[in-house]
Amino acid sequence: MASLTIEDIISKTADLPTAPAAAMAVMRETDSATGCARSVAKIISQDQALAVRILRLANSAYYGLSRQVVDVPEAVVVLGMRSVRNLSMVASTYPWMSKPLLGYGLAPKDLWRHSFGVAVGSQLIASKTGKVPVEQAFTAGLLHDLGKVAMSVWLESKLVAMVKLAQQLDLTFDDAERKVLGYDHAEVGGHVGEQWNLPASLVDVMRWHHRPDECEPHSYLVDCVHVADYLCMAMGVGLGGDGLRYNFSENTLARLGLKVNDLDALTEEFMQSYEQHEKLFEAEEK
Amino acid sequence: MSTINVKMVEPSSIQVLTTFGHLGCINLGSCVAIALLDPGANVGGLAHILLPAAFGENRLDRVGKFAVTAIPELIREMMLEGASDVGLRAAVVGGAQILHVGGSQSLDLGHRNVAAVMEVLAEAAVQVIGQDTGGTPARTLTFDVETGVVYLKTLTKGDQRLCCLRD
Repeated sequence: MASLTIEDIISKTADLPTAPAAAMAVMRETDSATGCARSVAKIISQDQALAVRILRLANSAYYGLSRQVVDVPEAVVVLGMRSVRNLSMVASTYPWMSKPLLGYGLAPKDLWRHSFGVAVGSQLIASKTGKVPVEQAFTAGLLHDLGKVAMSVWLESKLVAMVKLAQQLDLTFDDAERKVLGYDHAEVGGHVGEQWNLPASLVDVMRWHHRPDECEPHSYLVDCVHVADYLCMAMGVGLGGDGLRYNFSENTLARLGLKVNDLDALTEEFMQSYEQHEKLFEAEEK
Repeated sequence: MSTINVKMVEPSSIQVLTTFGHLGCINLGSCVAIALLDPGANVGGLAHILLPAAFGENRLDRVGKFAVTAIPELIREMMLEGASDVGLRAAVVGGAQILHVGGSQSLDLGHRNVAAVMEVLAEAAVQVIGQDTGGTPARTLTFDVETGVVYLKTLTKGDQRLCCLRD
């Protein structure tokens, strides 16, 4: 295990998800100055599986539309490009995020719940602070733990020992990963993100979400995800065997213009937002 | 335990059962689960709280959300099912918190949740029979209302019997 490099982890992991090409094309198109409903609909329509999932989500109870949306261009117009962007990412990532990750003590759908929770929390913080576009925050939150997907199979027989080691040495779980392996799931996630050709801002989130103060230059997007990750861990949203064995940087709150004393209120607001968005999650589960 | 039908009590929720059945909470973080039993009336209940108390201008939308409102409501709902508010027994589980070297009290949510729960239980003269709180682990609790046994599961300790609320 100790001799495995990050490159080995990425190249030798079976079932490592491939880049969600259509969802990323939708992301790029919605970010571009020339992106429009028609061009976004065209991208989605070229991926039949994604188109079907988008339509199913658009017709879910979450949106509560009075009539059925029957084609993708209509879905884009009715829902708006921002929602369709988020829906594309949700639809593309759910199939592999809903699998169990035994190496992190995550039952089926736990990684999904956690990732979706961090997406919702990041979006909420972005909306409250105005520091980053909310749709970017949603995507960043959704993908932040991608490295765990690559690492899990290699940790399956080692998780309990890793947590005990962390307890004995008073380490965070990512410290324990680095001590035993030489790298942590965040570093591996950064490499996978680069392999997927994700924007550098998203790669930074994957790489630095547990050590936001080390991201140079500082990134508000990383800070949003760090705080949202804390909210999810505290509220037990998709909590794994590593529990709450992570550090929290109060500097992220200061950079985002939030106060430590606001955390309880933010926690409550997050849970309200998460419960509202769960309807979307329920639609995707069917 | 794996074949038992457990009624999961979601965050901010309260559930009461009479005579038999299982109640549970999965992967508690800083939240706290409070299992209560009236052994004489065979009425048991579980609350899953998120925060110690409502604050500021915040409206109270769900009584099950806060320790100070959830526990009195749990006792009230148990009494409606025939329990007495005298001689209740409790188990308290959860209240983990992030490892944080800064020591900021606002990040001490797990500790504050547990403190609030214990204070409310003491005010209501509820005897706490079992407690597993603090630290960083995710905890899963199962409460067998018929036997009064509270089971606890964590990654490093596995499945264990925390206590019996009939003892």
